[in-house]
Amino acid sequence: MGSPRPGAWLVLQVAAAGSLLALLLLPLAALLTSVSPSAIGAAALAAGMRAALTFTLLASAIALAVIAGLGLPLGYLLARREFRGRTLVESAVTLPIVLPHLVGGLALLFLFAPSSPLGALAVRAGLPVVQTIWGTVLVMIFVSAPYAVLASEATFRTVDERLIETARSLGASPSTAFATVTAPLAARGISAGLLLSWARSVSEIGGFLILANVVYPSAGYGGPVTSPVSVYVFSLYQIGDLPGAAAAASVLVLVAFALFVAARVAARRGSALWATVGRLV
Amino acid sequence: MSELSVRGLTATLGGFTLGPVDLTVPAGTALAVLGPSGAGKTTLLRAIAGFVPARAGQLTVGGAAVDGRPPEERRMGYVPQGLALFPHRSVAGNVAYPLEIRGAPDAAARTRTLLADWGLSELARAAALSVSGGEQQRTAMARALAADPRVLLWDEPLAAVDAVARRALVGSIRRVLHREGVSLLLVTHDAETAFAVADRFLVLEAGRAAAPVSPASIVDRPPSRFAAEFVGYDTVFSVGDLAGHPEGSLASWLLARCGPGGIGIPAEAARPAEGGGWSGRIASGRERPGGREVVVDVDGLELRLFERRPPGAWEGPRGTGVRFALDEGALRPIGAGEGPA
Repeated sequence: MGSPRPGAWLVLQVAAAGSLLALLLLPLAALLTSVSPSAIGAAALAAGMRAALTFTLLASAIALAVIAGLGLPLGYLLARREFRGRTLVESAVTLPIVLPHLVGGLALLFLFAPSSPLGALAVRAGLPVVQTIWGTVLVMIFVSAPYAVLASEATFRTVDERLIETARSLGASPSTAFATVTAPLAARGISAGLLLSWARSVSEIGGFLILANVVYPSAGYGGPVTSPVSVYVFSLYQIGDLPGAAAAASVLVLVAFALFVAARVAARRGSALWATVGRLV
Repeated sequence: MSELSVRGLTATLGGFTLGPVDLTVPAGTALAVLGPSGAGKTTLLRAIAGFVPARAGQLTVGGAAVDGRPPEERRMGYVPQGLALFPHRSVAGNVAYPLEIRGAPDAAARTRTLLADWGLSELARAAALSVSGGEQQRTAMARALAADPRVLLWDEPLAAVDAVARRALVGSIRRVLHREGVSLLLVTHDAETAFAVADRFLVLEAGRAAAPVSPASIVDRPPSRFAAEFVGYDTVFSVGDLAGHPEGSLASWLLARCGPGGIGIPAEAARPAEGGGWSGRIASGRERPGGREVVVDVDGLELRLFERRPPGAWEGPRGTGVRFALDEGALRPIGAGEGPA
């Protein structure tokens, strides 16, 4: 049997890509066309939706900041250092990806329930976890940090060690070499990892259902009683308001799409931004 | 005065041990580090640059100890294999890098001067990896000098450059060494570059270094088989290659003239002989400027010999019988004359 002709090969590729795109886009098209634009507009303006969306964006922003602050150094460590127990650390980082989402929520509940030592400590510190923004943030970190850590590890590995050594011999301290060489070269991969992490945070629901299905105002969040937006949509569906759930879900799709496009554009400009930062260091 | 001095340097990397190595590179001169793959040449450069921790030894630049200092405080312009140009910066951005990170007030003017010195002004805004191999090489040189180093450590600096560009760059390197008074330690596999740039040679094999020698010395008394092959002896035999042959054979005649490491025979040491001399058969041949090079098989020993044109006595197909004489004065015993030049 001979190999397919170049033309046939291209047709095969386009057919495969087209089929997958159809699988991804047709359900979204079905959702968006199931409700009128005015219903989507009304859903977007509904107080419940606005509160849930604002709360989710706030919580995911906090989670993303924590993941960037703690996860990127871990990714760098895994990429650049050999140490005892490295495989164990890598496995631990990967574990949340393969666990059912509810397991994450349950695990956090056991750790931070008010009756547990850590939960009691959090309550005394004025940062209760159950049914608060901090529970939401913890669930988001638990389920999404692995994506940022693994993506940054892979990206840091692609930065040639010789570039860093050369920067050092040219007078750069380790932190300057990181800011002026490693970070600009890894910026695009890190941005993609953080974007993936953020998307995973916002799309979570299982963990929220256990730890933060209803969120009450507390330190860090002073808004109305609400839910993460995924839980909000699920609640509408559960009470039988299918058109309401579809309209709210459509708002979520459009907001997520807009944010993704914006983030992609920002990521593309990341290298230039880092180069500027590097010059200022 | 920025003389580089290394005394008793040893370092371990994985299962490999380097040293002890002793060397001195006076200001304004260059020392070429030669050795087969895996000899530890790059490890030596990285240990001096501060990227491989030294287990023992003293390292001074201009008389001041630099041991234990981090790489960025050693003022050594280390250029690894492949040049390590920053791909996210332009040609000018690369050259300006050391000036920018130390906040040099005249960074822009100094960058312009360096770009002009190295013929890079027209390429200043080009992406560093988009320019030709020779231009990348000049960028790396200009960038290393922008750091105002006292020592340059270059690993295969001209590997990716064609022969014509290499000759032009060699002249520039020599001028810079004299003008800036910088010491250069370079690793190279290219004999032409080594002889054109270096004032002395250090042969490193399996992590161990002989004392540095002069170019004349390494040619006249190659300290090892590798050195003999590196400097261009066309045929090199070890003692083992020549032992066990019958009395009166070419092998036994060469064995009597061997050093501990064998013997080097330049192709030009041979001339056609009408009668007498040694006889063998042509194994292969090729034209070279000014004559013909043939590989002659003499009782299982293959010698590479060169016959100046005319007369063409060694022309003929594979298996053609030839007779030749060897100029005994051109043969060089190996490993017999190492030591400070």
